[in-house]
Amino acid sequence: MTGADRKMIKEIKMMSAGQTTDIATVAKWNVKKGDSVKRGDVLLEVETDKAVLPVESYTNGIIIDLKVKEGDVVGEGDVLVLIGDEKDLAEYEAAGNVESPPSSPSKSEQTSVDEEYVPIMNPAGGKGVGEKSVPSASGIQAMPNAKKLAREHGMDLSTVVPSNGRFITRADVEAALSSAGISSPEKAGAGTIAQAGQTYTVYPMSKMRQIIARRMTESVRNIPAFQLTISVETTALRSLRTQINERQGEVKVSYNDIIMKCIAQAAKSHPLINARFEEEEVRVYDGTHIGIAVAVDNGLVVPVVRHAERLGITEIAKESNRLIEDARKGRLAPDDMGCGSVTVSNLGMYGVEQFMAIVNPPESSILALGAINTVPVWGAEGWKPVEKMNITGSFDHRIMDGAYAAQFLQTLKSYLENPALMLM
Amino acid sequence: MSEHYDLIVIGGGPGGYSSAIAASKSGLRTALFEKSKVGGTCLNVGCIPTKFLLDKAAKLEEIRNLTELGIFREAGLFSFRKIQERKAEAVEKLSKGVASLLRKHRVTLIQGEAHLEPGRKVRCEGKTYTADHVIIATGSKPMNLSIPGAEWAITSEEALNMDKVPERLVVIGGGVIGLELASAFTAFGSEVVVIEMMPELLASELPQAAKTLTDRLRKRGIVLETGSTVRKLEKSGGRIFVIYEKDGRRETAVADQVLMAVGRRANLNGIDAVKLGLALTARGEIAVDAQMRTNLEGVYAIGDVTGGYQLAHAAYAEGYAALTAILGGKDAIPLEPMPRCIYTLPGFAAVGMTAKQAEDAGFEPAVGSFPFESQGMAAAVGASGMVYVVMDKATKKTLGVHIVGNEAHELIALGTLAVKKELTLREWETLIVAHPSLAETVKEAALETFGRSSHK
Repeated sequence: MTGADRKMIKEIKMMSAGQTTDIATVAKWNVKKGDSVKRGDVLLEVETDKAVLPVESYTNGIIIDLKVKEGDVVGEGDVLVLIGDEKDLAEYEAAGNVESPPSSPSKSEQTSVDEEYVPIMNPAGGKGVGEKSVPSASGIQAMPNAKKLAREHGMDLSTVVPSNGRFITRADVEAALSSAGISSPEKAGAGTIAQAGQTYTVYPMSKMRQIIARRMTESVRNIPAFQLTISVETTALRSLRTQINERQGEVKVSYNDIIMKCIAQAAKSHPLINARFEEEEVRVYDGTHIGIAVAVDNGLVVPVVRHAERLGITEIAKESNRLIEDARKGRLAPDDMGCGSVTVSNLGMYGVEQFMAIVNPPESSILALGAINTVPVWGAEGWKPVEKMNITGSFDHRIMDGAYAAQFLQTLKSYLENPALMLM
Repeated sequence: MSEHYDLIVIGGGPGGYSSAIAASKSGLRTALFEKSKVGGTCLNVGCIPTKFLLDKAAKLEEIRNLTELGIFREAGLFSFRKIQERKAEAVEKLSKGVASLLRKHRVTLIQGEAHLEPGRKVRCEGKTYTADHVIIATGSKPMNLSIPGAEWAITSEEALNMDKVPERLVVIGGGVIGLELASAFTAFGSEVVVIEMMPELLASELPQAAKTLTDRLRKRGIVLETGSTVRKLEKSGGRIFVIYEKDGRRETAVADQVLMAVGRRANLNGIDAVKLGLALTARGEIAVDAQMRTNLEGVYAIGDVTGGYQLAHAAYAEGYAALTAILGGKDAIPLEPMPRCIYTLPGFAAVGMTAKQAEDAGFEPAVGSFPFESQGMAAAVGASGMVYVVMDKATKKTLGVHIVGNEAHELIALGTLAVKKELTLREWETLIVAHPSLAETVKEAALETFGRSSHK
C-alpha cells in the first residue's frame, strides 16, 4: 500500500523523553483499536528511567492501529499509534493491515551475550524440563497439576514441602491450602495469598512504584551516602516570609521556596552541591537545579526548579507552584524532571521533626526538612522560646566528604538564620 | 496486451511450486504468482521453522536426559536467540532453493498479488495474463476466535518469531500447531498451558494413540485443559489473563504470551468467488472433485484452500493429481492413504483407518500394539513410545498404523506402504526389518494383532 491513500491518518509519535533519556518503554495502553478518542486524551503511558509519562492525543478520531506493544522500547519520533476516521480504518484494514500490532522484537532486544545464554538444566539440579517432575521458573520441582492448583490459589510453591522429598504433588498443595484454611478448589482471588494460616494481599505495583523501588534500591546499593543534621533557627525565615507575602498577594511564598533560594546561594561557595555522579564521573553543573519531592497518589515524583540561583524567591515560588500542581495532575513534562543535583524533601507538615532521605541518583545530595517547633533555648537573658527546624542532609560520599558537606550546611544555616547575608 | 501461458499457478507454497515445476518439466509454459516468499506457509512460517525449533527442543531434552544419567557432567547453556537466528538462515536457504529450482525448470515467477478474473485471466500489478489452465494454490491463514481481548493473542507465525522464551505460554487450541509449539516451548523452559475445547485431544484419531500422546505430553509438563472454552483475554500489568470455562467452572490461566492456534481457513485473497462464479464448500473452501477440478472450466484448486488435510504433502499429492488431469489423464490420483504427523515431543504419526473407521467401513478390526520400551533399538537410543496397528480379522490386511514416540514421522513411511499395499499378516511375517531398528516395533505391533509377536 502507498502512503497517499491514507494521508488522512494521523500519526502520534514518541515525544522527546527529556535530555538525559534516550529510550522509553511502553508501560500501558489506555486505548485499543477502534476506540474513539478526543484531543487531550491520554493514549498510553511510557516509562523512562525517571518517570512515567502520559502521551496525549493531539487530535480527535478513532484509533486505527497501535504500532507498539506494552513492553516495547521506543525512541523519540517513533510512531506509536495511528488515528483517523471510520473511512480511514476501513481503508487501512482493507489494505491488509488487520494483523495485531507488530511485535518489534529487534528494538527491545538489548540482551547482552551473558544474559542471552540460559542454563539447559534447572539450577536446582533437577531437569530443566522433562518427565515426571517439572521445576518452575524459581527452581521448585512440582507436578504440573500441583503448579496449576498453586497458581489458581496464588500460592507460592516455595512454601510447600514435598511429602515425597523430591517434588511437590497436587496432594501437597491441597494439604498446604487446607492448612491455610482454603479447602475448596475454587479460586481464592488473584491477589490473596494463603500461607501457614495467614493471609495477605499482594498489592499491585504500579509502574511508578516499580520505578521508585528500582531507583531507591539502586541508590542504597550504589551510593555511599552519609547524613549530617543541623538545627536552624527559623525566626528570620518566618519574618522574611511574612514580609514577602504581605507585600504582594499574587504568589504565596512557602518556607521551602526561601530555603531553596538559600540552598542555591550556599551552593555558590560549595559547587559540589551542583554535581551529579554520572558515568563514573563527578560532573559539576553550571547552576543549581533543585528537585522537590512531591507526594502524589501512590507515589512520589521529583520535579526540578532549574537555575534556582538565577531566580528570585517569588520566581522560585511561582515555578515550584507550577511544578507541584503539574505533578499532582500527572502532567509533568519530561524536561521538568531528572535534571537536578540536590533535592528538598519536607515532611514537616506531618509533624516529623527529623528524618533521613535517600539520595535520588545521580544527584549529590538530598535535604530532609523537619517541622518548625518552638523550643526553649538558653541565652543571655535565660530561657527563651525559639523556632527551630532540623535539616538532615544525605550526601554522596563519592562526590564530597563530611567536612565539605558540613561547611555547606553551615553556610546554608547562616543564610537561613540571617537571609540578609545573601545580599553580600 | 496480455501474456499467455499454458498454465498459471497462483500461490508458491508446496502445492503451487511443486506443480509448477512438474508442469514445466512436462513441457507446459508455466507462470507462478507469489505475493510474498516462495515456499508458502510451510517453508516460511509453518512446518519448517516449527521443525527447526522442535529439533533444537528435542536436543535440549536429550542433553537433559544424558545429564540426568550422569553421562554429561553438566548440561551447559543455550541461547534461544541463536536458535532463532539459525532458524532464519535455514528458512532463507530453503526459500532461495525453491526460487532456484523454479528458475532451473523455467517456471516464470511473478512476484505480486494475483487477482483471478473470469476467463482464466489473471491481473497482477497492472498487467494481465491469460492461460489455458489455472491452478489456485493460495493456501490458508490462521483463524481467530471472536472473543473479547482476542487481539492480545499472537498467531503461530508470531510465536515462531518470538525473540525470547515466554515464562508462561498459554496455547488456545490443542490441534497440530498448538501442540507442536507447546512441546517446543516447554522444552525451552516455558510453563505451557494448552486449552482445548474438545473433551479429548485428536478426537478423530485412534483413541489409544491419542491417550498415549496426551499422557506423555502431560508427563513432559504441559498442562492440558481439555473440554475447556476460552471466554476472554484480559491484559493487565503486562500479563495476559486467559479466562476459560471448564466443567461449568470459571478458570484463569496467566500468560506472558497467548498463542491462538484454533485452526486455519482458506485464503481467498485475490479470488473473488462470487464474481468468478466459483463454487465453495459450506466451510468457505474451494470445492473440487477427485481430480482437483473446480466448477470453472480449466480452473483447479489444490492444497489448504480446498480444506481437507491442510498438510504440505497433501498439497503435493493434490498438485500432482491436478497436473495429471491437465495433461489429459483420466484416472483420479488416489489421495489415500495420507500420513498425518504431529511433531510433538514425543511425536505422533498415523496413516489409514482407526478401529472405528474400519468398523464403519464394514471391516472387523483388531488392534495390535507394541511398546518401544521392550525393543532393542529403543533401549539403545533411549526412545520411548507405542505403535498400534489396525488389521482386518477376516482378511488379515493392514488397515491403519498409529505411532506415538521417537521418529514417528519416519516410521510412518513403513506404515503408509503397509496400508497402501494392504499388507497381510503373512506378508508382515515374511517382511525382513533390520535389527536393531525402531521400525521393528511396527512389524511387532502388526504381528501382535494376531498374537504372533515373539517379543510380547
